[in-house]
Amino acid sequence: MSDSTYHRVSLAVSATALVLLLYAFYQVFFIVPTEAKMGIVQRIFYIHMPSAVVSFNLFFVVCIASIGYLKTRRLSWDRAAVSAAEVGTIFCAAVLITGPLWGKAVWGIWWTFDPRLTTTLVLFLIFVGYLMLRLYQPEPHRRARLSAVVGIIGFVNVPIVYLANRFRGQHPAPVLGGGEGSGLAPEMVVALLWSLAALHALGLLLFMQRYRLERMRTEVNELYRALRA
Amino acid sequence: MSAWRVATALLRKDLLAEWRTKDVSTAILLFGFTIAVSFSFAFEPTPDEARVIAGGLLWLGFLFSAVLGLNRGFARETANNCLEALRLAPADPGSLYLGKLLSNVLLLLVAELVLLPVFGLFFNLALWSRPGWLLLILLLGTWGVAALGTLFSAVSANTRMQELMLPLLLLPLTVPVLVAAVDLTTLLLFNRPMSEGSMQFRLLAGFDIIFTLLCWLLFGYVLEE
Amino acid sequence: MDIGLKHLFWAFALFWLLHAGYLLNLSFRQKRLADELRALKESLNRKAGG
Repeated sequence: MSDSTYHRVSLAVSATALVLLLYAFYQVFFIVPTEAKMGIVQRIFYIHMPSAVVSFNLFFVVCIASIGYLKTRRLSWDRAAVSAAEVGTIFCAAVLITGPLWGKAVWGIWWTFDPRLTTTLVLFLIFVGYLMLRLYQPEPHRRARLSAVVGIIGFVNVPIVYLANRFRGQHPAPVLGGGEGSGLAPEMVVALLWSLAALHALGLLLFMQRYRLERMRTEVNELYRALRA
Repeated sequence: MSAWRVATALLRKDLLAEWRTKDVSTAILLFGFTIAVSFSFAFEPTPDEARVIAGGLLWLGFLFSAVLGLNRGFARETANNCLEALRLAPADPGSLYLGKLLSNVLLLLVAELVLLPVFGLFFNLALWSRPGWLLLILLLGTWGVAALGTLFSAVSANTRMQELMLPLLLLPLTVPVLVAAVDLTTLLLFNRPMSEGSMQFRLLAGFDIIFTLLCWLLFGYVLEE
Repeated sequence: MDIGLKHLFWAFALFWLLHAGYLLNLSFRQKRLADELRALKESLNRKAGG
């Protein structure tokens, strides 16, 4: 896509993201009723759960982009993969930060090995590993190829991690956000949907910016090579 | 050469190389032993406490030793440019993967069987009450670690910081194996009926099948120049 | 209720710090690359024609 089209799209995405974020914020803090059992802290749910969804979707993008690269060998797929991975890791970190804060306030414990939080932690570690692997591979195609393999395996692993932790029955753990689904008031559902939309828009914005960065990097490397030729 | 012939040829070559140098086995055994001793100093569990944590300690020990062993195994290969030779071999990379996987599984299993009595000794564990089940858990768990480990040692070979890369990549990905194997081993040690672990068995089997298949498909991409 | 408020505040604050920080970091890296790109293009022009 040409530079000017890109600028217009990126501006549109930024504006949409901003509007959605403001509206979601308004929903979460002014419209939604306070949850009966947990009090105001429960509102963390509206950034905690959507962040998890966004990061999972982004890692799905990593998997698809990885397959795309391996099949076509076009570096644009690789650029998409690394962008999705980096942004996904950021959202993952957000889940891991908001989760314990919520947990500490409600149950008095920072960490619980509830399947969702644990899976998020493992996902985080997998993709930090992915990013580190890329750091140590200077050659673009080799880097793309190896991280594609890691990206595919990493993503496929995630549901299995979740299942493995689900089957552990010994330590009854408070399920973060799991119980909410059963008792969500309609206003909460609405706020949740707006929050999901807002965070996905934010994720898209960050993805596009990261992709642009990666494209510039490729250009710089090509120019260096042309200079040396 | 048929896929099976290639795989077994590679298996024989690896086992022979290992028999001569004993690189991987010594690494796993010595390290595993050191871990067992360190754990027993760190925790000093009573026999009852030991039963609770033994599953975890055992599999952590196996996992860390496996990482070390896999690193040494591939280090030996990189030193002799075996990776280059593998690449040039007129063989389907999938079969190469299978051959390497089998040799890794065998080496790891042998080492674990030696380490088991050591752990049993230090932690006063009644490990051998149901040897069949124990061996099954060992096999399924080790296969899972080896399936991913074989691929990832190739990925991290010729990478800077490869000693860091392998555990960094492998350990998060083997969490399901760790969780399931530990749960099953704990069931075994507590003399619970193994039917209680049916989900974990299925998970391990599923993990092994899925990732053996996936790594078999992807190995060619890793081996490319 | 008080503890809840503090945690709620920190959760949102850290979330935004993380994301805003990342966005700023991206812009900074982009700017640096843009400068490098411009310098490289100049060098290439000088090498070719100039």
